[in-house]
Amino acid sequence: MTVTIFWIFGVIAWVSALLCITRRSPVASALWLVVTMFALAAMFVQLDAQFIAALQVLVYAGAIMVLFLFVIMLLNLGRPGPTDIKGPAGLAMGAVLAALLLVQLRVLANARPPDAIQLPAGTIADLQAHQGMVAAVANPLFEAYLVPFEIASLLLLAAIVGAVVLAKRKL
Amino acid sequence: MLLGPALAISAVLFTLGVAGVLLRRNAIVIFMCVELMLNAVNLTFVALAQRLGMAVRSLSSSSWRSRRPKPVWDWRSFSPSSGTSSPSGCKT
Repeated sequence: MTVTIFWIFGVIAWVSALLCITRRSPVASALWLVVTMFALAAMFVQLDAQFIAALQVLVYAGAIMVLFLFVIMLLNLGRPGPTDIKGPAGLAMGAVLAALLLVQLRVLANARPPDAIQLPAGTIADLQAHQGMVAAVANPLFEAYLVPFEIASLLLLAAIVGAVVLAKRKL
Repeated sequence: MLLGPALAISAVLFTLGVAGVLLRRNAIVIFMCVELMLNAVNLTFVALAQRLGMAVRSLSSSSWRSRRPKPVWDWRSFSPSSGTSSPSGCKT
């Protein structure tokens, strides 16, 4: 039953992603991408990651989608115009490369992590019941992985500075 | 139990994102397809963390184990008491 529900959301994600990359209007693509994000959030809930699911809805389906629609409206890209999907040559090349990647990923998906490092089923759920949903994410983030976290924040700061420098030619 | 389906779903989602980047010319749509790829990788991370998360943590930090209500370490001996070894089998 659980696996069936998981697959239903997976198929929803696949179909909406396919519609996202094939719709002509950027607004339609953005709205289909929202459907993909919600399906992914539902899958996160089934994978015992409820906090990540809430963040997915808040950040991706909320903030980033608003950013996309804002840029589309600001640059006036929403008007129906000539399609931006590449011609037959580009379509064939894209399809071949994507199929090649899919075959490679299919081979990789057969690899299973060794049993010695796998957790018994329900360990993460027990941890979340013991610590709380947010603490299970926050404790590793601010203890074990503090240095990578700070490096990521430095990277974001560099990106912000770069965006300001690129956007404002005259400082 | 859900690891296999999650990996399959994220593989196909990632491939759709790559196909979108290769097929479209519009920059904002290409950016959306990049977001699609990022989300596919997120799904992989969450699915693997459900099975391996503590094992990965136990290699780098034993903070959770030291906070469990039952005493994990028998301080009189220099080896952890039996039955409470880390899930990875590695003594850190």
